[in-house]
Amino acid sequence: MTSVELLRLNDCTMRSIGGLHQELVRRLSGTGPVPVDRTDIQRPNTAMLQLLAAFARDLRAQSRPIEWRGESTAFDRAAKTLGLSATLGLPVDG
Amino acid sequence: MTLDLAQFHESFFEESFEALDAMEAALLKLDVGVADHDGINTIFRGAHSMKGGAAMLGFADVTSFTHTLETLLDELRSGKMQVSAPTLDCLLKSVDVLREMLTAVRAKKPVDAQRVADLQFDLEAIVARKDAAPPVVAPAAAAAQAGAPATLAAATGQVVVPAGSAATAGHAAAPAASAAAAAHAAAPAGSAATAGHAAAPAASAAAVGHAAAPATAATAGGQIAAPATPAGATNTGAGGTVSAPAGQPPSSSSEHAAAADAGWIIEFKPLPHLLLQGNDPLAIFAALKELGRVEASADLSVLPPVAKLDPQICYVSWQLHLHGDCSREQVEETFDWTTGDCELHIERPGGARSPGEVAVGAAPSEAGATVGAIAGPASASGAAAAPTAAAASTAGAAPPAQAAPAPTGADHSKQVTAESGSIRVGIDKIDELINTVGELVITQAMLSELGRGLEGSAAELLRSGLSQLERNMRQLQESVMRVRMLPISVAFSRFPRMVRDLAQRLNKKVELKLAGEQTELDKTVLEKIGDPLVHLVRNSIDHGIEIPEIRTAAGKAPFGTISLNAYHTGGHIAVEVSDDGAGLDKARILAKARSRGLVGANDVLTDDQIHDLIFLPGFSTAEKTTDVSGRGVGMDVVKQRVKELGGSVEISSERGHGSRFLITLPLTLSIVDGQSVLVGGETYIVPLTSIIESLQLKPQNVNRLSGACEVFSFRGDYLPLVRLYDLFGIEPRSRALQEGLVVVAEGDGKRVGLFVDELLGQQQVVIKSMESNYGHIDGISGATILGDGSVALILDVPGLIRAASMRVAA
Repeated sequence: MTSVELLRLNDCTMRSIGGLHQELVRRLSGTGPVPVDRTDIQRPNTAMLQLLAAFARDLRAQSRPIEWRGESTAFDRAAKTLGLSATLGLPVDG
Repeated sequence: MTLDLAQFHESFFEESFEALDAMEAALLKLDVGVADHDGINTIFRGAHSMKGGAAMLGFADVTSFTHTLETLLDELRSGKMQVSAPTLDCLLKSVDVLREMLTAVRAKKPVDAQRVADLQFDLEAIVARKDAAPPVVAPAAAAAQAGAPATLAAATGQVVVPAGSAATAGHAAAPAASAAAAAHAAAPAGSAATAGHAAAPAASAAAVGHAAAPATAATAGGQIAAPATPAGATNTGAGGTVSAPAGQPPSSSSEHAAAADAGWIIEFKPLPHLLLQGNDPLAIFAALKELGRVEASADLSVLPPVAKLDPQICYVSWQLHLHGDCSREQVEETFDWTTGDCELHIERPGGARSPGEVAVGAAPSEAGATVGAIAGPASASGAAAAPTAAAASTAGAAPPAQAAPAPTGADHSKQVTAESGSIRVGIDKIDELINTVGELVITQAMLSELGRGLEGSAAELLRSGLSQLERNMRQLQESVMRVRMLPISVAFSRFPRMVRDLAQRLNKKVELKLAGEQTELDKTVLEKIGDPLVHLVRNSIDHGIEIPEIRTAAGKAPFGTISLNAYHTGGHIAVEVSDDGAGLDKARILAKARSRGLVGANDVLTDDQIHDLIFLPGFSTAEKTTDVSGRGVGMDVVKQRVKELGGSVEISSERGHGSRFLITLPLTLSIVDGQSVLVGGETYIVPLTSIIESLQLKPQNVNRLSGACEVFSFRGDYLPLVRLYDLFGIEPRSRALQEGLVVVAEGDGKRVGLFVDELLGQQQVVIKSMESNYGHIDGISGATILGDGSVALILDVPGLIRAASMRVAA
């Protein structure tokens, strides 16, 4: 049984988003669901949400769910503002 | 019979310099990858005319260089080549080199042959490889190709210019998609991919925003940011800052009223580089929510797989439905900062999109590609071009008489230069005309003076006639003065290019706003105010505007703003240079002054006094000296030059928010507002701009220093007292201080008290040159003829101070 490594998200800037990108590319080559903890997100931005939306979409294409852990009002609100809640697999009416 | 061609040299030089200005202006408006035929034709014609003129007059170097330049331009205008950022850079350098060549030839000095040869080689190389294609981007970045090099102007961002500003060159286009291009690290160095800003890797490009380390000669542009385009802004008499967004008709009240409840449908398609410009749709949508409820629908159709996407590129576009009773202007205002970085369509639900409702940005293309003409049809080729709204809008901001056309298709709203009738007149003829009119004014004043003393009915008729004559003369004088008046746009026109280049060097993002360009001032004043303005703008960019990271960390927009504004106020012209940078550091200035012994350790200075310290020679708080500024030789020169023009400089600054320098200048140097004073039997004129105060001294208030130097206390300082009768060798009415008056005057940062017998009154006088009529006299700047026919000398306060100092020293 494959142990699933939790992906803990942190606020990232345009400068640091490359690190998150690399991590997500790595995760795509794995198997099984990907648990993602968004608790620490306080200042989301479009770049991050766009990247995560692509990630969520690519995971779905592999029939792998993204499992959201923790809570972040800022993150959920930002996703809704950008119309990405459904793509990200978040509650649309959050 | 041989024809002496030397008589045509000066005309050739004048016309060539004008042509170069026009070429530079046109170059700064060119969009990379977009065939702006009119713009290229303007440039070609300039080069072609210069070549012909140079050949005819035997200027072989100029002929050869312009021939090579013309060859490249011909390739561009025939469509055999496309405009690329490296090509644009090369063409701009060619303008610089031609200016240097013409200056050298005019002065009969040798041309810098190596520099010319090097650039000529580059031009030939471009033609040889026709390497002006749009940027070659890495396959993975194909989707973002659209974002690729905006115009060079795009690369450098936009210069916001008032609508109608024909003279203001440098309509830089949209901010570069530089980082987008830069992100495509696979793009070959030197390719147009580096257009605009960074050829640096994406990370570093992101790190510094746009202006990263240039990879090639196609240096990353500094940025002149896409300015916010105030919705519906138009060119006003005061010279608004930005013309209306291209194609955006002002919303009518009926439109607003009719569909208020339905809100607005907003199609927002960011250009790939939008995120790298410091814009974030999340923040924009949050701001939009203040206008009403927003429903966002994201279009992820061009979002590539994670493994292939560039996380710094914006792939997502949105359709928003804003439910709220707000105007189009309010909606547009929310997207102000994205001007040039997106396509934006705003319409009422169910409304058809009209040509006028066009985007501020490039036309859509396939897969994130981009840039077609503004509001143009999708450019399927995905050729890079990122005309920006500002480019469109500013390009459309033709001279005031021209309405900014709605951009359609590839319409870049070409700037139309009105071919108004004009005639070249030598300055000497104009000065002679002004001088003669000045004499007429004096004669009229004398006649009026004579008429006052007459009595009888005939005298009444005479006085009535003289009164009419006075009005006519005033009108004639004003009209003649206006002949020498030129719009300040002549001085402002250098700044778009200068700000672009300087911001590029310093890796800063700068938005330049110009206003009041049509404000007119005397030609001599205009020529002499240019350098002080350059100093102020350079200082503003170097020391005022922070780098993008610092600005962002401080909660500011990454683009700093420098504003130049000119307007008439009373009988003067005011020129403001302001920025939203760091502001003056009063604590540091004061500490520096104290360390240099300029201010006592316990002295308490007002903010204005602290600010004025920066005008002291050699005073600089710069941590390091750059070749841009920091040597402390700029601000004292600024104040000196302004003073020489009879003007003044004021500073207002707030730490963290920016600074404003207000230069006040006389409209003309031919007349001066002065205070008439009586010294013995002679009348002198003291320029009002030099006078601080007039007071009466008591003998006990005056101290005598060694020798004959007298000083008196004035507002906590001791000022030297100059007895004008003594200086000029005149028998005064009285030598007793209490029987006369002291005029406290200022010049060159120093103050002096001038002892006179009496104050006679204030008047405007016509200045007659001493040098041309007599000779130079220390302490005298000119002369005038009063209404009674007598001659009054106009005092030169700085000269008086120097003369008095020399007497004391002797």
